[in-house]
Amino acid sequence: MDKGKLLALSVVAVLFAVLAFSSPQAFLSRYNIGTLLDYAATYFIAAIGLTFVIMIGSIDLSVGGMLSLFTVVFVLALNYFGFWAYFITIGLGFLLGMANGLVFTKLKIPSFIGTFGTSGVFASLALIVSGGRPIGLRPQALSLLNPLTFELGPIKGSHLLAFVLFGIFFLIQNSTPFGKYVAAIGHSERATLLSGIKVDRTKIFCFALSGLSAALASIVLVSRMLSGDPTIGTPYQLQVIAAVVVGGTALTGGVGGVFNTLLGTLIITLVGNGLYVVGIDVYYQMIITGIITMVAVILTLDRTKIKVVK
Amino acid sequence: MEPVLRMENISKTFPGVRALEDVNIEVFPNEIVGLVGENGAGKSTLVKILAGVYRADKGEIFLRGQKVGIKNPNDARALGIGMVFQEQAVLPNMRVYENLFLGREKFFVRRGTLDQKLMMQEATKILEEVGLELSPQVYVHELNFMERQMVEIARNIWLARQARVDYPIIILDEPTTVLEEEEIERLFNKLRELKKRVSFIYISHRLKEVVELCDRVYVLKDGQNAGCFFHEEVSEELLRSRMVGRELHEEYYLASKQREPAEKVVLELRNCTKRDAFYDISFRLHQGEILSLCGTVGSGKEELCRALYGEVKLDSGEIWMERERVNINSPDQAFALGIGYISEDRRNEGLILHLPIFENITLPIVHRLVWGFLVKRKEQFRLSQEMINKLRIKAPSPSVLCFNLSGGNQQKVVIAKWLLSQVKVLIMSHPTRGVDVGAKHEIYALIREMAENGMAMIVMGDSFEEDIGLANRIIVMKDGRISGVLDATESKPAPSDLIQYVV
Repeated sequence: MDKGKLLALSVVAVLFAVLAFSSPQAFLSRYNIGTLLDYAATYFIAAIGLTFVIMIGSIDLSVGGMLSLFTVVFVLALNYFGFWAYFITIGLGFLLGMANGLVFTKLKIPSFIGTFGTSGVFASLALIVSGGRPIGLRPQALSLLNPLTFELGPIKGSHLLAFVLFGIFFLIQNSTPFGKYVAAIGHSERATLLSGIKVDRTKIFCFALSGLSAALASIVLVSRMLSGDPTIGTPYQLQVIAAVVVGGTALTGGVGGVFNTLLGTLIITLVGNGLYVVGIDVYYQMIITGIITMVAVILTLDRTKIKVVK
Repeated sequence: MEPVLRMENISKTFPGVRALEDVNIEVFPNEIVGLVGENGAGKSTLVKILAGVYRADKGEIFLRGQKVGIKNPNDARALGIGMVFQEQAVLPNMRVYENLFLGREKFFVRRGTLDQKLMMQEATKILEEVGLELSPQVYVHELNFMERQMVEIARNIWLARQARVDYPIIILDEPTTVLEEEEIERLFNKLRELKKRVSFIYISHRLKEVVELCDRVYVLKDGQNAGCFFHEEVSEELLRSRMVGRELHEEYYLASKQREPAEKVVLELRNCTKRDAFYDISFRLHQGEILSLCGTVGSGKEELCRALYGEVKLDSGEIWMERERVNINSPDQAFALGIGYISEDRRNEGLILHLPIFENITLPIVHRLVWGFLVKRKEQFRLSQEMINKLRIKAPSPSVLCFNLSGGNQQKVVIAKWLLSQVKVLIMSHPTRGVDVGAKHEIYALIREMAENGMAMIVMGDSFEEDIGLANRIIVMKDGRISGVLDATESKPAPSDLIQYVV
């Protein structure tokens, strides 16, 4: 394990220890640990695909828009098509992510602008489809969420899903040709292109994975809220990017990965949750969040491999 | 007379390469001193030490008789040493006077704001001094390359004056590469005029110009002094023989191992044209043949090679591979057809520096080394280790980052990549650039071996000697057209035979 990951891991450990010692009753309560895991699972699942996009040096600003849209789509699909809703939502996520990738590679629009544009489209579609109101789940559809809501002690199905996805994406990153191409493009797109790699196809697939993981995160969100909310995504957007970056994945590409994102997610959720648990004045919370975020990046980002920090 | 600058016993080693060994040079007032040598002879390393970019491992620098320590570019500037780089360091989107004083605006601040008027005055003065008749208001992108170079020289003179040095030393690194004939003459006249107040160190590959311009010429070879000649005694032949330092006996390029190429044609071009780059190019490349493409910058040879690798689209013409007409629209299509490409920009385009050797070597074929979806890491390692042994890459293990290898070993990694993916045609742009002499020799041996195994290669060498030495056949391009085809299998032509087609 390299230095960056080790540091990120120690940040997680220190945060956890501080919280556990300062207010053991509140922080270590079964309810709080459950909440913590709920949030961490959602953030992590949403951020896991984005990690690949950031690894190639691009960005996906439409994750928030997709979250809004897919919670609505998933609930509607559950109400009308039952179990097929899972396939519909995940498939749609993959396709819309691919659309992002096509806008980026074929129209040659920088991903920052391209996904900023599609983000608006997705957010609007969410409002149009839902009529601007949260959509409730029919009671008879509730049982369809069992795979995500069943409980084993404090662990829920959705937490297990996050864990399984971590394993799968970790393998994708480290042991598939696609994962190798992602790292190569992130370090040097020219050299990768000249090695005969289909660079555009790889990039499109990264965005498709980001869409897919947004869809999965939406499904987890619905399993918690039991409704689809067309405005839920917006506050998630920056949190999800922060989870990736705080873990030590460089916005310039090449450096980082899904393990970093796992640690980044834990840092973000521990900080967010911890400030409430310890009882810090709401007015001061954002100061502390900001500072901890910066310190975490100082510790986790391996700058030896990055020429320019942008 | 006392020298302005004396560099004594300068030595410098990079990982795996001894760049300089006990090099001495002196520069006197009113002098233009030439510095010549082959690529990798140590010219740029030497001047970069003087300019504070690198630090010498050993040796001393004296300026006007005083020993000085130059730790960084700022120290050099404060001592009146300036460098005008090959890649020009002016900003085209800013005006001339803004460029002149870039980073030194502090000098013109009056009451907290920039005194533009004062800047203009000062700019006009310094431009006049270097004999450049243009308004300081002009944007730099409107200037030609020679004028841009003069702006940089003016900037360096001004900086030296700010540092209260009245006898600056300005290093010119290949200043004429991008200049037209006429501009070169104008630049030389300006330099001759300016040397009343400035000493120049002039680095160039163009020996003719060095002979014409310089008062004294130092030759470097393999990081050591290889002679110093006065204007009166110097000649191109003399410099060339000192630079190479050996009779160009053919064995340097292993000509005895050269084989007659096979009958089989692997690649054929028919009347290929790309407007503003090359016109009506036709040739056949045979199995096991080494074909050299010669020509100046702008002859179209670079674009032609890029077209073969799918980076430039042909306007018209046909490309055939093994009796099939093919379209090559992207590098991955070229690779799928069995074409590989070695870029001259090894560090940015040849390999991925921050990935380990085995990832680089197996990158093009990693999709074939899978078990289901998963890459067989052991196989990656095994194949890479085979290549490391075969090409004698000096690295403790396949998981070493390419970043930590010397230039020669990095280039071997690039070659290993294409060797492993068994391409039929390999295009090599300056395969030995920035590689030391020993590694060069090994790369030549590799090229011979690959030819023997049937790989066809198109080479753009670093020098005519290299092109002639390696090739079975030489195609010379000029202004986008083929101006001559020379056989080099039976007997080797002389560089002078080539030059008539080049210019």
